[in-house]
Amino acid sequence: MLPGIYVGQVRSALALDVLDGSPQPFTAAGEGLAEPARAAEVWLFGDEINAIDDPTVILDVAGVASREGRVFPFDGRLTIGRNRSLPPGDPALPGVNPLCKQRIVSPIPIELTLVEGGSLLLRVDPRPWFTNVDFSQLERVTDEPPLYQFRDDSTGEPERALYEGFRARLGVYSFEWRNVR
Amino acid sequence: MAIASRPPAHARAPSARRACVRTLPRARAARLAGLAGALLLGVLIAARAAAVGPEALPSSRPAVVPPAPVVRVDAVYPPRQLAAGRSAEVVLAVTIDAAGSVTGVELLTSAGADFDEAARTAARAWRFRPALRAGAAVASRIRLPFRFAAPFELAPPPAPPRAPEPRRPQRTEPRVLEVTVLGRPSRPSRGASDFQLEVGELARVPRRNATELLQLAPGMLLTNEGGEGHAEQIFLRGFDAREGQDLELSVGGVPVNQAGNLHGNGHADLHFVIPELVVGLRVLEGPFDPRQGNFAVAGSAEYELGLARRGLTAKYGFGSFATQRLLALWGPPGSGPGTFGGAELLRSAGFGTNRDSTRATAMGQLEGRVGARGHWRLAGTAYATRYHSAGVLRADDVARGRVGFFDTYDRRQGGDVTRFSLAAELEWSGEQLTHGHQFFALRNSMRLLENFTGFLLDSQQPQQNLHRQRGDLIDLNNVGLTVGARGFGRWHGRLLGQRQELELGYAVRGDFVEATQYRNETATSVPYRLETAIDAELSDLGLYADANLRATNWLSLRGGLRAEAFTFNALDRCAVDSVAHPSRSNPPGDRSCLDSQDYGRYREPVARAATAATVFLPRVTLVVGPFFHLTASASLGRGIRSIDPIYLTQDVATPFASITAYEGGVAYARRLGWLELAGRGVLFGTQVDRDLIFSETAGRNTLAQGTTRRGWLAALRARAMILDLSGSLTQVHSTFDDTGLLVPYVPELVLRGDGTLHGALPRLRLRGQPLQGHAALGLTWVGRRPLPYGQRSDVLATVDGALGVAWRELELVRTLQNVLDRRYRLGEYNYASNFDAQGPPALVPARHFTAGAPRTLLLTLGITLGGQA
Repeated sequence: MLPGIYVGQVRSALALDVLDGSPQPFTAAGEGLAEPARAAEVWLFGDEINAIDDPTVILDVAGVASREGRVFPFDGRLTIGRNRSLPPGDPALPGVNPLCKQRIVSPIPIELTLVEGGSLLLRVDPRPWFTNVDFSQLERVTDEPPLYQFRDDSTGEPERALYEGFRARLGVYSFEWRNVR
Repeated sequence: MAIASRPPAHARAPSARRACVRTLPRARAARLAGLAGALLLGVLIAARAAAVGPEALPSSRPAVVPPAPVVRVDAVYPPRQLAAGRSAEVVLAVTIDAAGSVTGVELLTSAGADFDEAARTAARAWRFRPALRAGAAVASRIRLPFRFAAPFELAPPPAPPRAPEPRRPQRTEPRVLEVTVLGRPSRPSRGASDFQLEVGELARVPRRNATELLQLAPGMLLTNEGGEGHAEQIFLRGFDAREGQDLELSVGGVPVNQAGNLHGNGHADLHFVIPELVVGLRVLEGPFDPRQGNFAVAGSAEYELGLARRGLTAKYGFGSFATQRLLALWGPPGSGPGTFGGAELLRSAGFGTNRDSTRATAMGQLEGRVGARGHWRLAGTAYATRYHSAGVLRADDVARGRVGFFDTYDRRQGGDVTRFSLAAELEWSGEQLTHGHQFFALRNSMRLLENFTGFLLDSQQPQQNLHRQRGDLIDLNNVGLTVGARGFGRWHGRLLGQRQELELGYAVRGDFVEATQYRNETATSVPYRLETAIDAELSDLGLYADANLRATNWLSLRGGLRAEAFTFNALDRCAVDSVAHPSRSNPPGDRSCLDSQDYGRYREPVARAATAATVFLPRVTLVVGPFFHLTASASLGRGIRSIDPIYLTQDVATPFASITAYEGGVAYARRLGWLELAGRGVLFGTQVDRDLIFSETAGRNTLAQGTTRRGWLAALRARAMILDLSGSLTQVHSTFDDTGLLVPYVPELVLRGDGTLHGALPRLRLRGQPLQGHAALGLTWVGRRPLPYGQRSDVLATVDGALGVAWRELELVRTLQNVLDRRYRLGEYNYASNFDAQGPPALVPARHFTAGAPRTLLLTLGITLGGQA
């Protein structure tokens, strides 16, 4: 978590269609203070932020990528559980890599001040997710129709690239504040 | 998803008195009886009607037996007259009904308003075997003189016992009633903020405990977030004194503040005091008297113990929430109010979830003479309690119906407390020199379980095994032993035609404290982390010189210098909780206190720090007057609060909080016929270089920045024979020096009113005996208190009442607290908490509160037996 004071929070889950480019409101009311905010966090989890495992699908992607004439129909589902755990480099430090660190995208720079009755909007730009993905290294799971698939772990290069892109603190997530008139 | 923001910003009195006893003719007695039940005016008229009677007595009347005192109450030397140091005699005409009760008191010889009222107050408490004519009880009227000896004058030796006077058939001879009063003299006033309070009839206003008597002083607000057995949180004149950390408290001269208490250095719990045994209270709002020592930041409060009523009194109370209270008080007849015993047992289920409590208290005191010039006093107390606490609730959870207003999140909250003390005091009075010493020893223990934040603070540490939030319950245990002494030598002489005084004194104490604080896991209640383990030896030696100099009879300069020396030696048994290079072969795991093997260099997880500090504290008060019943004063002083042992660093001069306070005020005192008026108006200011501010994560107050407060207060007390009213209004603006922001939690506006109406009930008699009644009311109104992050609390307003009736030895009292049954938030906070272990944690500061008690009824039946001298 960030140092400082949390001045606003929406604790309900938000399902986003990231292909809709417009900023999207949260469906439930949040709570906050009328204080300026300087940084934000996005928490990517299902049940509990410190859970050792979590089968909740955080990201569900499908599409067609093309490069130099090659077409890569793809899909993939991403969870953040044991599949993302990192073994401690030092056995004396078993808690050095808790999963909560991977589930929180932070800090995301913002400049806004919450006002009673206003709305917080979130826009997610999916394009940076794939910036470093080499689709050619994806596993082809079916031939007819052809389908490439992201495995739900970080063992492969494309999977690791998507996971890192998904959790990028810059360029992916942006917030807006809409006051009620 | 969350958004983060900017970083957080008190002699003898009636030494020898004659009672010229006469009875009234039957017709007059009947007339008197008929009027005795009236209100004030009625009582006065009855008494005066009786006054003309005795000389007119016909000689053919049957034999008369005069009334004999059963309960004798000594008058207390008026605190306000101590400075003048004069002797006085007040003569009263006291009317006694056929039941032996005093139904009228008339002033025959006055010695000034203060002495008159002191004598009246004492006389009203006397009880008699009624005068008899032909074997039948009749009303009577006696002449009762009270002599007040100046506090420093030599007491006359006790008169030898007189042989019983032969009874004469028609007129009785005077009888000598001799009572010697011992006591601790009050201090010369230190200005308009020196409130030497006589509890008197205001004791009838409902109060849950002795701490609430502090509300008789202006500007006091008491809250409690920790349950029935938890010390009250005290707010005074812009200070959040927490549980006494900023208010020096003493009972019978024995200090209450616990130096080195882990819950707060100076923690003070007054629940061990039986309220019925408090006869006086001095509250000095500010550090203006050189006798004030450590913790006198917002000021000091001295409780004076005593029991006016002689005999054996037993009371049983029961009421709302299965509350039962058993009280036993005894004062041996023939002894003064300073010899008493008392015991109390209280059990209650509490007004909501998880608020049950049980407590037992015993207090006793003996006093006597040492020769003709000295007196001694021995006192002891024992107290134990066990209680549960509801703790705080989030306002949003209550609004959503997730928890009830009187509910709790964590049923493990509560605690237990024990306190045992012994004190011995000796004092000698010479021609010009008085000196005294008091020695005390006390042991206290406290366990406290509180959860302010739910599941929020258990952050994952690298050396720990992976874990979820295990819960934030604080499990604090503090055991302390205090030994100490204090004493003084006071000289007086005459200079410039005026009495001058000089006092030198000392106060020394040593505190030996062992404290631990764990965090307990919610699922199993076992401790999972040791946060603090500290053994501390603290010493405090204070020396002072205080002068009371008079240039004229209207100009006094009072004050002097206090020097304080502290030494600290603390062993922190858990000084290391993380290591840079943990051992791979022997990893620390989840251990809290870590030894370390850092590249071959081993160290234990402990650290000892020893240091010392001295400070000099000048204090002075200028008193001018009285003129036209008005006395003006100006005061300036410095105070000090020592530092918590947890903040010590080896050989680094101990930091302490330093307080500079100043004020100017006017006091008004006047008697208008039967009405006595006293008023105060004060302008004050205080600056503290290191204030204490509540931290929900530490569960107590922690050091913060400097603060400044400025404000004013107005107070008024009006007393008449059947009426006692007290009211005050305090306004204060308290801000941080660096940011100018308001100091959170501190009330800006406090209004308090207390009132009683008491006397014989008109026309109501039972078996020929009049019924005495009383009604009492207590009002508190506190404006919206500032909270962190620009928030404001709700207004706090409560009304408490009491109705009582007494007949002969019996008394029945019904008290009702929160008469209007308003739901109110007693304490309010604004911080982040997460009481939902499931789902996303709440991270944003939110409103929290502790619920005030709903309407609470207590019916108490009392009986007083014995009392013959």
